[in-house]
Amino acid sequence: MSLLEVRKINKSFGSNKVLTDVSISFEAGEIHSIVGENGAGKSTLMKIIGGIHSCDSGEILVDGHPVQIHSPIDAFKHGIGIVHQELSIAGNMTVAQNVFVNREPTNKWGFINWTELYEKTNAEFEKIGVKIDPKVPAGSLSVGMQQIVEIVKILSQNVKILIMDEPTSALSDKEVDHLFQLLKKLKAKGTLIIFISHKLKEITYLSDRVSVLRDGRFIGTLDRENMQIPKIINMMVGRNIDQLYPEKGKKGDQKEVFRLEHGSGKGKFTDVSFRLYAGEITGMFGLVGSGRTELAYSIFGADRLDQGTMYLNGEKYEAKSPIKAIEMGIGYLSEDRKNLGLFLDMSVKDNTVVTILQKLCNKLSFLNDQQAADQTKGYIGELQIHPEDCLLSKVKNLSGGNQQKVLLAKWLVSQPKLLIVDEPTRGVDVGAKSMIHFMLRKLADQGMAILMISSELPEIIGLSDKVIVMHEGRCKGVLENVDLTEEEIMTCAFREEEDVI
Amino acid sequence: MKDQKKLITVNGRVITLTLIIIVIFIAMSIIKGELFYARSNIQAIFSNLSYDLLLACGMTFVLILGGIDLSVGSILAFVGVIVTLLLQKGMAVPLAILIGLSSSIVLGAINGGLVAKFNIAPFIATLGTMSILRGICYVLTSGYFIANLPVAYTKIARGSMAGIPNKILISLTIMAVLAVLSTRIRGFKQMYYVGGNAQAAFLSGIPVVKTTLLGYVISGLMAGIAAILMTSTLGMGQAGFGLSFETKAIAAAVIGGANMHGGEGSFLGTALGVILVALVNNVFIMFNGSPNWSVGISGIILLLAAAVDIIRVKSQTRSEARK
Repeated sequence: MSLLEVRKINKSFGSNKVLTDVSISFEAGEIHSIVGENGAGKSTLMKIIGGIHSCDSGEILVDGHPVQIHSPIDAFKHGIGIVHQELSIAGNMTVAQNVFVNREPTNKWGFINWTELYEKTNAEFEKIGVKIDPKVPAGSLSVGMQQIVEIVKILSQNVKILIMDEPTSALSDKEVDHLFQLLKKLKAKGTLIIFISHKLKEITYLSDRVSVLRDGRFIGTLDRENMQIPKIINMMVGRNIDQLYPEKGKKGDQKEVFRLEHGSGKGKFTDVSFRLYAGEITGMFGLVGSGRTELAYSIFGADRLDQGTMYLNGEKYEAKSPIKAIEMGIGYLSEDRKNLGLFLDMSVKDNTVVTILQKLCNKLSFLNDQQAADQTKGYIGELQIHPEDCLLSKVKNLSGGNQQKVLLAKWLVSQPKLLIVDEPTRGVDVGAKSMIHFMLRKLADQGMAILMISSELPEIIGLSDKVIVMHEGRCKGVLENVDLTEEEIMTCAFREEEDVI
Repeated sequence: MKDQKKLITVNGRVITLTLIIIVIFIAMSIIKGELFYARSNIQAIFSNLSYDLLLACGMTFVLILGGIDLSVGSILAFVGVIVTLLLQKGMAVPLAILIGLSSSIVLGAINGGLVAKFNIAPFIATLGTMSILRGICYVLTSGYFIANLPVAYTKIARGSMAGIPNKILISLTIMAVLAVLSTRIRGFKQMYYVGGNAQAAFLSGIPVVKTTLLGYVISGLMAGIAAILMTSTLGMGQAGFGLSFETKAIAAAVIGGANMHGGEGSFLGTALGVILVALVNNVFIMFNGSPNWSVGISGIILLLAAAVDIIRVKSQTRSEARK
């Protein structure tokens, strides 16, 4: 008998059918991943199990008994807890308060019993073998630790079914490792873990079984023996993606576009030097906290270099502001598209042309709306942004992958000579990811210099011509990408200071 | 399909507001008859409309920016006092008006500077300037009226063209021009970006500080123009002018569809909001309510509008939650 089973689940939002006759069964003590492209219905299914949405028809069975789940509270009653993609940590409150929010142990006057609260918190963390000070504000922890706090908060409510919605998208590799150890421990204790992720490598590494959804339908479940990435992708997209990454660029004439010499900034990065060439994609690999985003900010003028010199097309360049940088032909696609990249309540058109408002103006600073629309339509076509008639749609109504394409379009429209892309495919489905990769390569072939910051090693290796390895604010090496392996990059990142040069 | 939906919500609000206004008109005409549609009463409804239109129009820009300007009523009083004092001292009318309008621009720039340069929360920054300016007005006038203004000044607002009072014409024209330009001129369009997502705007090469300044400057200037129209109509300046006009302006803009979190606002909606607020006030007075209630009514309307907005957003998020 399965611990959790969904039978013939159907769900529509208005006229939009998101789930059709989905039936899956989940066993105790397994890590069961759900994969599918954006819009395949994964999140909706999880929200139905977690009581956030109710289904139009179908059954949910826990331990073989049909149950009614109409709210997250109902879900908890049946031992189901969700860790959402966006963490719900109150940063100013202590770890203990976060874990026991609304359930703090109190004395008879209703005051919080702090000693007991801290003890209980410690006990909960001990269960999973993590050491943490329950008295520190949760906001002072790393994102990875915050997530563990969130998991403990869920687990402390006697949860036997733990749903994790894209838990690793904001974590560094080390934190991901940590998380996986934890999940395996929980699994050994008999917890069912339902895991949602776009990172297929993680999934094949971690899962006991994988279920694939496509267009709201259940396609199939694979067990460990049959869990090969090409096979999963095939099931997800319904066709073969024969080539995951585009061909590497041809060795050009090595025309230097940008050079940084001995750049240091804000204590986040120290003495970093590198060159970027036209027609090349230079990967910058580094974990979260390696100083890579701060470095990008400094090149783009959103931050200042404390020391060091930059050269653009051979001439000395001072990054005064993003306005200036854009004028000089630099673009920066930010890593956090929702908070730093897009205007979610504005249209695809408005989002796309934001970088070229000046060019769209006549002398009286009247905007040429027709031109804005034409330019945007061009990119909607070229990047295959869906739906095709999204010109005036609010960006928040697009799927994650299409939002990311709009973000890319916003920079392409400004026709930069140097494009810095920071985690260009984070939280994006396989199809859109591949599309973005091919687009970046095409741009490089057209002569653009591209600096691609990423913490995904397969992406770095698959796409870059050269790899700059950053670690703890230092450039540990620049590697030519000729059959480079993940091990070589990691070794480079962690090698000792003396070995460099 | 989604485009259509968006169009309908924008139009929907305008249609709803228009319908509400028409229903109130008809209902009042039936219930109160001549008392309501008498020329004098209609004039009373429209008499204050011109100031409210201007202030609400400026407020719409500031709300689009994601800010708020509580100081508009005080700027109105301040500019009124300055201009009337200068006129009393015998200054030429055009020069006095020029000084008055310039000072409103400067005051708007101060608000904008406090918000954009010093990162003071707009609510606090403009609350501060609101009190300071009102305080200065009391000091300058010692609480007295400033009257005996030259006819050349008073006829500006009191005159009329084709039966429509000048002040209504002036404010409607300004409002219409700004509304049409709001999405077509770069400096204005940039406000939507800053209000929508200031960080993203900065990283997209939008001059966030300049844009913010522009919004508050327009709001200040609108208050300045309203001050000229008001002192010209009434033939005097006074420290108490424009008290709690900011509430009316915010209420009208929010009813009209301005998003309190920035990035959205409709000038047609704001204009209808202004009319609705004026009408509700009049209805209240018709039923023997005292005009003293007027300030309180704006507050009630503001809270109702905000509540309706939150309910609307909630139901929207629910239907979009599948993402």
